[in-house]
Amino acid sequence: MLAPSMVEADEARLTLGAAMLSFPSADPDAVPSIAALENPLLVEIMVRGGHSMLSQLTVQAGGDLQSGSDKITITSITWTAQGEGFVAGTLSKEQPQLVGQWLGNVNRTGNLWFWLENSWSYPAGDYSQSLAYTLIAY
Amino acid sequence: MKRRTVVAGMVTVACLLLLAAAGWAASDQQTLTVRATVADKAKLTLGVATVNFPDADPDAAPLISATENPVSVTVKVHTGSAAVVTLTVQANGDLSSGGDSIAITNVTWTASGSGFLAGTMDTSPQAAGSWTGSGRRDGAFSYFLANDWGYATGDYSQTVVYTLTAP
Repeated sequence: MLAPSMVEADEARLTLGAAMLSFPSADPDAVPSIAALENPLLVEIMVRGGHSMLSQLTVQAGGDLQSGSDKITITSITWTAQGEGFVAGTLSKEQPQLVGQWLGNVNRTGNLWFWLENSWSYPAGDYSQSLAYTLIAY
Repeated sequence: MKRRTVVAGMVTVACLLLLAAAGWAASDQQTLTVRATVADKAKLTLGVATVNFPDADPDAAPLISATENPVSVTVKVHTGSAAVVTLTVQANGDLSSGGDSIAITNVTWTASGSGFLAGTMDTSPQAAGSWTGSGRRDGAFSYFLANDWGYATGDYSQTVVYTLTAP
């Protein structure tokens, strides 16, 4: 007689506390580093798998901040982090940047604070870009 | 006997498939949109609020240099990348001391720094600088008064207004 057994599938779930980050206009002399209005961004990680499973959260920008033909380099945006396993960094369009790393089953919450370096060299405009956050467990 | 062997083989294959699935990576992805606003703004800073021309012998000093020369000038602008930024200066009148006057056109200036322009004071706006797009520009003006034995003695003054425009 065959005794059926359940094998739980590995699962990874990523939740962000906001869908958008906004940096308001500011005088570069008064505000050399602009805080995102939505700071801090809540990040929730849930990974279910083996105790030796490695999980990594990365972020990669789709390009520079863009307003028509004007650009602000995406590396002008940095973040700080709070929460076990979460790390600070600088956005990049070239390579995924590490946001956090954990071992085994994970059920973690962290906060990210985003900052835009201000400058008189930026052309006036409304800039935007998309960031892809990817959680992989393997 | 043969039938039991075939069934056992099928069960073994199923178990192997399930074990292989347990080792696959699990993943999830979320998108975050980033927006940044850079509004038009303009800021002009002059190094001093007053320039003074001391008394001098017109034969020895036909051109009197202001004691504060050079005067630093800083222009800071957020504007369109193709927008023309201009700095102008306009005097509110001639140098005046009671009923006496010295034509303001006797005051000239030289300029240093990219985009900054030399000129002659006047009661109409005079170009003092021109640039394109956003940025910080640092320069300096040095002021000179043409000296003349024809000036009546007195303490003269006048206000000049610098205007920075970024469309």
